[in-house]
Amino acid sequence: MSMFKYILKRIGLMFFVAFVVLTICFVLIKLLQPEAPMMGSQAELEAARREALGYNEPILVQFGIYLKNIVTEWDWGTSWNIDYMESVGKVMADRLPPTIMINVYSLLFSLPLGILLGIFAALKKNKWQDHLISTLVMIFVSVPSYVYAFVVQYALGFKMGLFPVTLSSLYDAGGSWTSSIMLKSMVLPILSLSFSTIAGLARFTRAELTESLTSEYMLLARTKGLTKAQATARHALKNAMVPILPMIISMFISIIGGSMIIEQIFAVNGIGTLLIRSIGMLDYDVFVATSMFYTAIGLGANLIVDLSYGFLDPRIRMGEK
Amino acid sequence: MKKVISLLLVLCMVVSLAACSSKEEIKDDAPTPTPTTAPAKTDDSASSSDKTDDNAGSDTTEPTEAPEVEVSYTYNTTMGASPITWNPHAWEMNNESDMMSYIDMPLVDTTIADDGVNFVWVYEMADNITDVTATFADKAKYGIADDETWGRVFQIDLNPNAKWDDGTPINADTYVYSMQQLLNPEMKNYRSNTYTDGESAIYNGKLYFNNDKAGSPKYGSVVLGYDEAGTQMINPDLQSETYYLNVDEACYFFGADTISAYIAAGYESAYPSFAALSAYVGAGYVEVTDDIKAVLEALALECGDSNPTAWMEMCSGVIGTYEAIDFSEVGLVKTGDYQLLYITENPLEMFYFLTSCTSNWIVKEDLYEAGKTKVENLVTTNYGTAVDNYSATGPYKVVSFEKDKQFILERNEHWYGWTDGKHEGQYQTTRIKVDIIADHNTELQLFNQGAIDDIALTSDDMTIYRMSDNLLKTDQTYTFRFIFASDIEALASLEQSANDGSNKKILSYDDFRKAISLAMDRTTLAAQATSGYKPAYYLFNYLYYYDIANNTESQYRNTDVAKKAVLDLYGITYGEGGDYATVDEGFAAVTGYDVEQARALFQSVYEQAIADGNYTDGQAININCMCSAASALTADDTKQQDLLNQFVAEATKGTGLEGKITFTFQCGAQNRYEDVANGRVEMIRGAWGGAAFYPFSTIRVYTEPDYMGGLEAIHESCGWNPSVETIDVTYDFDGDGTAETKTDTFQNWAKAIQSGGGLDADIDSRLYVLSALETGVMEAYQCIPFASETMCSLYSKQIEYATYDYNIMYGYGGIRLMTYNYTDAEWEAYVAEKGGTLNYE
Repeated sequence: MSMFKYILKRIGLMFFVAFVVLTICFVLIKLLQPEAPMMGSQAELEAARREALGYNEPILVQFGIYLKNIVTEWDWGTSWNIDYMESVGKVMADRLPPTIMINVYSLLFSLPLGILLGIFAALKKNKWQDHLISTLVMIFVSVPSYVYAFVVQYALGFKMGLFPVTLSSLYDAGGSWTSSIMLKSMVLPILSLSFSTIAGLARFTRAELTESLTSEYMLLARTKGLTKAQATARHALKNAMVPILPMIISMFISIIGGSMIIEQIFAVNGIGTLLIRSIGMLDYDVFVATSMFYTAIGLGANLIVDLSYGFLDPRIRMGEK
Repeated sequence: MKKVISLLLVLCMVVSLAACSSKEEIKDDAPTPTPTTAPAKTDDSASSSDKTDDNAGSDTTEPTEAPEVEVSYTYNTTMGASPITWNPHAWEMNNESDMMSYIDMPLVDTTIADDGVNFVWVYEMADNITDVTATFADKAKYGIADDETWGRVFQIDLNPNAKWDDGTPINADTYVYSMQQLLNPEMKNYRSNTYTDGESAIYNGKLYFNNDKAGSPKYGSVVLGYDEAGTQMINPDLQSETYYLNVDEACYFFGADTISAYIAAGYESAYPSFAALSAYVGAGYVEVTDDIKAVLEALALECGDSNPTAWMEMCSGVIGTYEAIDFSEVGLVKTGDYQLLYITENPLEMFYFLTSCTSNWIVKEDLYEAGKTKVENLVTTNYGTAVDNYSATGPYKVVSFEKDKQFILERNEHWYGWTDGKHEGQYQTTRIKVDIIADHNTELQLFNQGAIDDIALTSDDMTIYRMSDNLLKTDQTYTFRFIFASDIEALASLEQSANDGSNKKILSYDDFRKAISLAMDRTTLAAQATSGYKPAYYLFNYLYYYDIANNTESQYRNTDVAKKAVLDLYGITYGEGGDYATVDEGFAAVTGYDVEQARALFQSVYEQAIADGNYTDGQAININCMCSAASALTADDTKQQDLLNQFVAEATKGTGLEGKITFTFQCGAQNRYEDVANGRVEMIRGAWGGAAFYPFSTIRVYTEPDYMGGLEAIHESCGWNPSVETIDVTYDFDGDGTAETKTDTFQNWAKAIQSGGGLDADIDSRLYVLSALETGVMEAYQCIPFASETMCSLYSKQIEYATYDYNIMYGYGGIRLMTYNYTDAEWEAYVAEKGGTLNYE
């Protein structure tokens, strides 16, 4: 019951934080004024449009209307400068599929590789294999992913011609996100996104598993007759996964966030660039909704990760007395 | 846990295998090029939709679906951002205009004349356009004087074969409905001002557009001017003696400028009464009370005007009431199923009317209405935002549109041009594929792989491709310039804000800014820090024509007076005893670079500023230049910054300012033009362009606050007010053989050379005044022009343009005359033969 209360409390706090962020975003973006048209009649026209759209109302009045529309109609507004007259929900929904596809594939590719490399390095601790993996991990963790993007695009895409240098359009891919043309065109962005994830996971897994392998329960397991492999798989790895799994959960949740630079390089029409574009284009409603989308991802991920600790290890179940 | 890991691994392998399928598979899966149609010459079979066309004129050729052909010619190109709307009433961006140029047909278009050099008008959606003002019977209804014989009424005979891409006919009703929607007061369409305020403004268009203001008062200035006896001329239309103040509107007292602009420019310190007016910014029309009158009287006195009624020059009065009019009173009249009369608000030469007809305003009624919705108080439509809510009138139609990714156009089988016999050999392109690519490196890789047919180059690219056989250099009308705030109080305030001990007040010295100009080696700057721009020493480049209607070679820059304007600026003399024998020789030698003179000026300013207490010896001079609204500086921005620092460092050697001046380029401000005009930043980089046929109008953007919407819209106005600053012009105005010198403000001189301005009848005097104004603006050194935009691009070996000599009327011939060296299949084979990468260096 107390766990239930804790969840309710966290959700309540989430809504409070979301409301604060919403208020800040709304007020800040409305303070930005568009560059005034140069010529008189165009300026007059623009002023008339802004008046008709209610932009000349006091910001708090506009905010009240905006909140009312969200609460009563789940209407987050209309895009004018990114998708003309499109509801903000649709603007975002249109851009989610490519982002999610690429990020899901990237995670599916990186998770096993990262974990396996981490396990391997831990098992070969302080041997040349561990040093090699650790060195590569340091390199891949340190270098930003867009650098890999440039490298793989130029080397594998442009010079060797193995893969397309941009993501295919749906039209060219026969209308399917899973056609071979589409999947092949996703290889380079997936690779670019994967390197740092693989490296991060490998490093984390190695660290956790190394600690587990040197624990006293491992000694007990071995003295009870388990082989090293059995002890590692049944005890060390299981315990090491306690901090790793929440990390993986948060990765899955954040995949819908996309990557602005990767999307730009590979011409992915995803959601990664939407926030920046909405500021540049002064598309007020898109900015607020996109900001809230990212806020919700962050808050949701935090909540789920926190709760997952309790489910994974009852000893650290939060809210228990 | 093992199971989880195993599952993930299996998934990963499946995905990887699928993603790495072979090339052959991809070719098999690739969509087969859509069967295409070509301009038919003899096919007389009609499509079913064509047969339903009951309204088409019986004397016209029935358009038919062109025969299918085996070959395809795809024009592959890119855009940096996706078009948002291609509704002719609402589009805003160039990429939208580009898209519309493929799918919409104008009433008339231009193309290359038979001589291969000049241009000709070609009728498209119109069959004929004639000026019928002289014979028009209903002149009084449209405010046309009996003695007006040209330029007010144009008869447009429409092309009866024109159809929407679903075969629905386009007739006069389409045009009338579309114009009514374009001017719909509830919609506030972005493109409406073309027909309410432009030179081709339609009669009563503005009134109809303002129908939503019906019943509200119409205001006018109380004072219209002064007669020759110096008596104040009161507006005779005033309906009462109640006066109003609207600080955001134009008023006579401030040279027809707005008071709010002066308030924003910080004149409160010079004229304390301004502060009291700040309360009325944004308040609209406020009745002038005794208190307000007292403020206005005080302000007039502070400004040096002792006339006791001068305050009235800042006031407005009610001159009438807005009335709603019916669209039947607007100057677009249907006179037949395929005939219209277009009645303009002001007289317009045929050339300019035809120019205005190179865009079209028609929309398809059912789709337009279906897309209508009301957002707050604005009625709007989603027409032209997706494949299914738009209908094309041109040779291509939209078949696929993926936002931020790609759109594809294919031949519109209902386009009249395939069968009218007038377009033979044109529009060879069967398909247009436009990918949205924001990253330039990606775009360049695609170009070198033969995947796209053209690409704009950056300055870095130019070092590689400058000798390419496929390089195109296209001059643009834009002249880039550095613009300064020079008001000493604004600069002092910026100094205070910077709080780093550096000096900015020195920018208020004209000679300091002049020294910067002379220190700049524009040739090096353009070559090393731009993508092929040309060095500029003037405001107008060679793309401005002063009489294009009658002379296609009437470039203003090529006139002697325009050349002399530049020579005067740089003190270069010609003729007997001069530096050069002729004006042409002198002009050809201009570089704008004189490091010795710059050095002397820097030293003299240094001494003067110290003497004035505006500079402390040894003080750093940090000048921030807001160069763009982009979120990050480009490589060119950084190069320009470095070169500017290098030039100034060289020119200050041995002076008191040696090593003291640093330019720092910044970016990200959305309103940098307004910021510099209001003294919120000391320097920006900007460019003016467009309106190539209107140099006399374009000069107004530098000189007329009321034309621009206020002093704050004159970029160079912080410290320089063109409605106050005067200039002497010496010219034989009265034609008696003797030159007279007249003095007036920049604003008034600019007004004088506009239509009806007094000097508009004589082209020579207009040119002379224009050149004097150009020199005058540059001599103020509020702005320093440095480069004229040139767009450098590469075109692929698959395509050929009709000409490689750019012409402002038809470019390189466009998609209309583009031809192909290879079919798509041949091109693919050619690229494969070259190993998948082409060499354009």
